[in-house]
Amino acid sequence: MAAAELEHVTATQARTVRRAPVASGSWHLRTLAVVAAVAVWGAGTGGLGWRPLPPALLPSPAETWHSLVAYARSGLLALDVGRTLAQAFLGLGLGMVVGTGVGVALAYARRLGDALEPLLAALNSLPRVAVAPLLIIWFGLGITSKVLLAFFTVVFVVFMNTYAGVRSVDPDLVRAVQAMGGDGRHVARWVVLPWVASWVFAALRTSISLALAATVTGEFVGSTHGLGYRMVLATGVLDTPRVFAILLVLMTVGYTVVEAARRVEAYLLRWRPEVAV
Amino acid sequence: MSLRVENLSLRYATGVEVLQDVSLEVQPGEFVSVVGPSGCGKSTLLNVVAGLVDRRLDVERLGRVTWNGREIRTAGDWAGELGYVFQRDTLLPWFTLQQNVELGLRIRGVARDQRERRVRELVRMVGLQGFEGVFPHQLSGGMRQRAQLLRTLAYEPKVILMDEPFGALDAHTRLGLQREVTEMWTQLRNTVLFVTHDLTEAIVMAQRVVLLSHRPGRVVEVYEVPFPYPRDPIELQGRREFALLHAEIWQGLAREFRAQDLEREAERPRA
Repeated sequence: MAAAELEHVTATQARTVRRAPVASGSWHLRTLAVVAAVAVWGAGTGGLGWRPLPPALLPSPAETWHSLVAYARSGLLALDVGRTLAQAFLGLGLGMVVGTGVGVALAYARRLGDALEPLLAALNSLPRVAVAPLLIIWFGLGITSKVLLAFFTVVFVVFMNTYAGVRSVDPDLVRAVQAMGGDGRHVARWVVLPWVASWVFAALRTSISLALAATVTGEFVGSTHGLGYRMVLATGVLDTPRVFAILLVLMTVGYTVVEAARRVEAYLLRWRPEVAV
Repeated sequence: MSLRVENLSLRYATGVEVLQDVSLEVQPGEFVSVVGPSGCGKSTLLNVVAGLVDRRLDVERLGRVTWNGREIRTAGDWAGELGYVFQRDTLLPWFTLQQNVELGLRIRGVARDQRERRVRELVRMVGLQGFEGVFPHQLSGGMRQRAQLLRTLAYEPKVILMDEPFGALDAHTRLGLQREVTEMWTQLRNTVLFVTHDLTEAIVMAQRVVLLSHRPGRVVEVYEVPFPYPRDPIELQGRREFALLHAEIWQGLAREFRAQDLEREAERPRA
């Protein structure tokens, strides 16, 4: 991948972060939207005495809820959520650390960066879930294979963003700090670090969903615990309400984590002009 | 004891010559402005003086820059005695006005309470009080340029380089800042090298005006500006002596404009 293309991709990712702040008070409408969605779902699954599809194909909200409660009572829900989240976060954390580290290192070591960039870009364009079976063969059904899958999914995205971020540091800001007598440490701390932080945050947000997706996929392919594993079991016996319940859990967990990250980001990057793009 | 540029020539590896045998001396406490047609190497000259010419660029450089006899090759050689005000807003966007203005003081290890006191003084001087905790993107262009000026004045550099610092501002704001800067300089008497493409501004602010030729930049002429300080830029522009001096320098500048146009004409490929 050419450098220009790479910058385009990462710039687009960066831009998605800069969305306009939501007007306060809009939570009424938001709650209403959720309620409406559930109402439509309920109406189409027997809520109005009309049920075109059997529960095994499309369960109602109530059936899904009952399945979820049973799942929670058995104690397995907490276990599975814990397992899946632990794997996703381990992979995510590892990917963030390694991706940022390698991104910064290669951006400074320009020649090495130039040499490795096409290789890493090629690896980045590989559909990461395709290596899931291989990882299961190598590392077994346990936690390691999922952590590694999440790691592989995340690390290139983080690397690409960090690398592009360091390389795009505004030279005029560097010159400004140098002109007032600042040395390399001042430039690194006051210019490069905050500049790159906004790129890393952009990567973080996409990476959270990616890490979760990778973990669940890994659990589909082969595991003994986790939300993905439980979903495969439920699918095997056509327990569709359970599948729906797990999907709801995944959605809630994913949304909560991404939203938390967004708030931290909004606070740390509050110096940015709030432009809707 | 002065800022000296001695026989400075600069040529890019591509063969483009930017500066040709430029020599000038700025006395301590003197305010000198540099004018010339666009692309004549004014900004490059400032960057060489600052020691900020990108070392990765392939440039061939002859001659030298010295400050009080010490040769300047990199920004570090200034040992903290340099200030540089850029045309472009180079406030760090993630720092508040307060944090930006005190950067130079932090580099010099000044204690926090002293920094705060100093920033408070400066901010009041240019009417920015109340904006200390505000991020740059929330300030107007004129306020940002004032903040940039304060950032430089805060650590009291001996030498200040200004590269078209008011170029991006509207006429009214520009006049206001010209007056503020001449007022401050009247008190502080730093050594200033001020680059501008605006001849009126060059005369209004400086004690001497250096006219550079079209590219490659050479010193064509140096003009003395005899008006005493403190000066009022608006009042000054209405004076007869000002008009005469302006006309005199303008003739030189216009000659360079024409020469540049002719050269461009000659270089243009014919259909």
